[in-house]
Amino acid sequence: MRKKILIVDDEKDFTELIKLNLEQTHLYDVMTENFPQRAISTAKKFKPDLIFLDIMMPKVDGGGVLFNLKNDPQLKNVPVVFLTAIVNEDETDTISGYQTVSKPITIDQLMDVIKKNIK
Amino acid sequence: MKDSFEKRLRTLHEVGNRLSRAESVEELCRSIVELGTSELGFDRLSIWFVDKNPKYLIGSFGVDEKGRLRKEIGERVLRDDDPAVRHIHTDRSHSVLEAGVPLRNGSGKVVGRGAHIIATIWDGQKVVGYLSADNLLSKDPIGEHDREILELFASTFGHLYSLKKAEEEVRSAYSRLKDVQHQLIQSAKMEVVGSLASGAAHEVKNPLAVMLQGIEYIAGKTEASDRGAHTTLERMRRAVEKADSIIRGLLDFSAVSKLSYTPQNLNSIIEKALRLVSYDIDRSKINTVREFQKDLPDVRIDDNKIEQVLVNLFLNSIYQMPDGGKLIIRTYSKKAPRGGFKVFIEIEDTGPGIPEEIMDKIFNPFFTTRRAAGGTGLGLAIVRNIMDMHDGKVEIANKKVGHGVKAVLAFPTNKRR
Repeated sequence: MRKKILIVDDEKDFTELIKLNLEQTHLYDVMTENFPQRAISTAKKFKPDLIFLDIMMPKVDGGGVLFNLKNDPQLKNVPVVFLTAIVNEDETDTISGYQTVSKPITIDQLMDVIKKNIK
Repeated sequence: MKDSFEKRLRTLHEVGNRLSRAESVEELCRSIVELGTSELGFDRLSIWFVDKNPKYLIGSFGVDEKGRLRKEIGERVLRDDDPAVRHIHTDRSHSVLEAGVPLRNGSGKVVGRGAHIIATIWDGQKVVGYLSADNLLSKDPIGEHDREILELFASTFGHLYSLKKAEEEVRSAYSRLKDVQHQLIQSAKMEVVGSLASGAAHEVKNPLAVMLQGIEYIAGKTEASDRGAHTTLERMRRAVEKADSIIRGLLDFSAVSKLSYTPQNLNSIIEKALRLVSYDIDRSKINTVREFQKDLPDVRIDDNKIEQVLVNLFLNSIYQMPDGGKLIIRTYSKKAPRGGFKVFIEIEDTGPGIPEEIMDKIFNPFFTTRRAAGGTGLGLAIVRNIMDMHDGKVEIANKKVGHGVKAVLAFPTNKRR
């Protein structure tokens, strides 16, 4: 059974390429959402095993999406990892206790993060 | 044979002209004593300034009982029973001549007997000190003319002294102002770098992320046999990494870079940092020498940040020794005066050293001598920034011209974070 990964990020070029690369491994099903205000409804439909969440996004930022996720009984237990361009990679676990990884990131690094965060 | 009074007055006038050319208060005081003895004919002359506590006199320049010029001749309590000083204080006269009194040296010891003159140094508002003169060595008689000459001399000195003092104060205020201005510019620069960094990071890292994913995608689709394509993709990947490393350097200034402090042993942090540069060390055939204190006290640091400090310093040393050399790393601790320990790391290389003319610029952000080789000029700026955040210190100096550089990092151990 392939693990389901949701990527919420307004950078469409980035999410599309990540999706292509992760799906090439045949280990994951990937859904991308470029509109953060739709993140909750997309997540409810897709039922992801892990959510990658960008921080700086228009309209609703990563913090806002996280708040809504954690207040949703159906989604509150889904692990979340911040995937952002505003911190350095050595500053993991610094944002509200959620693992934070820095762009740019290689697929191998991303897969390591996925393995660590999905039981 | 003593010169006539008139001749000595002319001499005094010339001496006054020479004194006015003194460039500092110290030079003025030295000249007063030198010219007072060589030109005005006193054996011994000394300057005593009234201390902040008016009960004390502080000796400036003077001539000792063997005729030698001395600096900071001593300290004296202004005693109520000092008849000369009392005379000046009570009579408000400017000088006094006493005959057959004990003559003293700088530390107050009696070294002979004879006549003695003291004259007040008046800065225009108050008595700031006294000139004292005698003929201890030649035993030449001292008379009323000598007293008048010394009084005039002291008055000239008083005016020049207040002038030079004011000049010095203005100069030092100006240089303090310059320093503060420099610091303000530096911190304004840092602030600009900080706000630029977080903005630039987001705007640049996102396109870089797209490029890296694209490179990986194409690499996955390209036949393994197409070596030209794979080499090209590898070059592109390195370019992305290079751009990202510059952005990461900038980010280290920005507010989003938070520190997390844990107690750490610096010896092991050094080993970790050395492993990160081991490739460069081997390539340049550099011999590393470890002189570690074994029971080094722990310090509370952000280990990633300090590792970065060390890597930056190691790389600077390695660049200085492309054809081999020695990298000496030393650790030690010292008891701090206010409790706890200070822990030190010293990093020495055997490269050519830093040209003196750029020494005061090496910590400036964006200052680099390796622009062509891809230097960002942020390495040492980051080092200082990180050490500041640890309440630590970094000092970098040439050991001896042409004999390499020594960097010293100092960490306090008694900081609670």
